[in-house]
Amino acid sequence: MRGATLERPAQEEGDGDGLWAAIGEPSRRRIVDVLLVRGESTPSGLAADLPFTRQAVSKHLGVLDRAGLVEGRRAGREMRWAIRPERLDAATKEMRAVADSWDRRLRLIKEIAEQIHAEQQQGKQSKEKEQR
Amino acid sequence: MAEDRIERETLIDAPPDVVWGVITKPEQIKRWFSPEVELDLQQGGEAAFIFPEHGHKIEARVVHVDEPRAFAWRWIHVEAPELGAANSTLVEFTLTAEGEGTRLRVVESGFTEVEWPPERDAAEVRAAHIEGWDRHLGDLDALLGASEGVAS
Repeated sequence: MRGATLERPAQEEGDGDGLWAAIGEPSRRRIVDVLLVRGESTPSGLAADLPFTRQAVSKHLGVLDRAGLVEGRRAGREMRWAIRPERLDAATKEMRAVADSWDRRLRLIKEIAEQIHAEQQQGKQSKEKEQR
Repeated sequence: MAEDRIERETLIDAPPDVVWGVITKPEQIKRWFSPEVELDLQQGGEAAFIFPEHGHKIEARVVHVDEPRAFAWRWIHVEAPELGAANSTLVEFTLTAEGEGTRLRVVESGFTEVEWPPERDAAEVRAAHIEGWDRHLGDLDALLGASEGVAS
C-alpha cells in the first residue's frame, strides 16, 4: 500500500491492535483484496465475487469497519463499502515490524550458533594436533 | 501475508544441538533477545524476557520441548491473570538437520485470536512491546555489525 498520503486521524494513533486482528483473518483479507480491486462494492456484490454468503460478508465488513479499515456510505437500499488506504497501510506496517523483528533475531541466532560451532571445531582440531 | 501467522527461516552452518543451545539456554537467549531471561525449560514451564532499561517484562509459558527438534512458547501481549489464546501468541521454533547445518524455522501465530482491548492504554503497551524489542535488537545489530557480512 505505497502512496497512501492521508494523515491518520489523531484519535486512531497507536490503535494498531484492532487493525491486526481484522486483517489477519484470511476471509477478511480476501474481502479487502476484492475491495482494493473494485474500489467500492456492496455486500451483495462482494458475495457474488467470493464464496461467502451475503450475511458472512456483512459480518466481516462489520469487523473491518470497527477496525477502521473500511468506510461505508448508504446508496439506495445497500451500503457501499471502500477501503481506507491509510489504515490498511498502518496494519501492514505493523505486521511487517513483527516479521522484521524475527528476521533480526534469526540473524543473531545464526551468528551466535555459527560462532560457537566454529570455536568447537577449532578446539577439536588443536586437540588432534596435540595428540599427533 | 494472507494468514494469521508470521513465518521466517534461516539456514545455519552449525548442527542442531548447537542451535538448540542458542535458542534454549538463558545465557544464550540473552545474546539475541532480552538482557535478562528466566526460563524453566519444560512443558508448562514459566518464562520471562526482561528489558530492564525499558522497565519491561514479557511473561511466557513453554508449551513444547522436543530436544533438539522443536521448542515453543506462548507469550503474553495483553495484561491478564491467566495466560491463554485470548491474550498471547504462539512462537514455535523447528530445527531440521540439513547437510552439516540446520534449517531453523520460526512461526508466530494466533494474532487474530487475541482479544486486543479497545482502549488506547493497552494498544500503547503493545506498541511499546514491539518497539522495545526493535530498539534492543537494533543496538545488538550495531554491536555485531562487523561480523554480519561473514555470517549472512
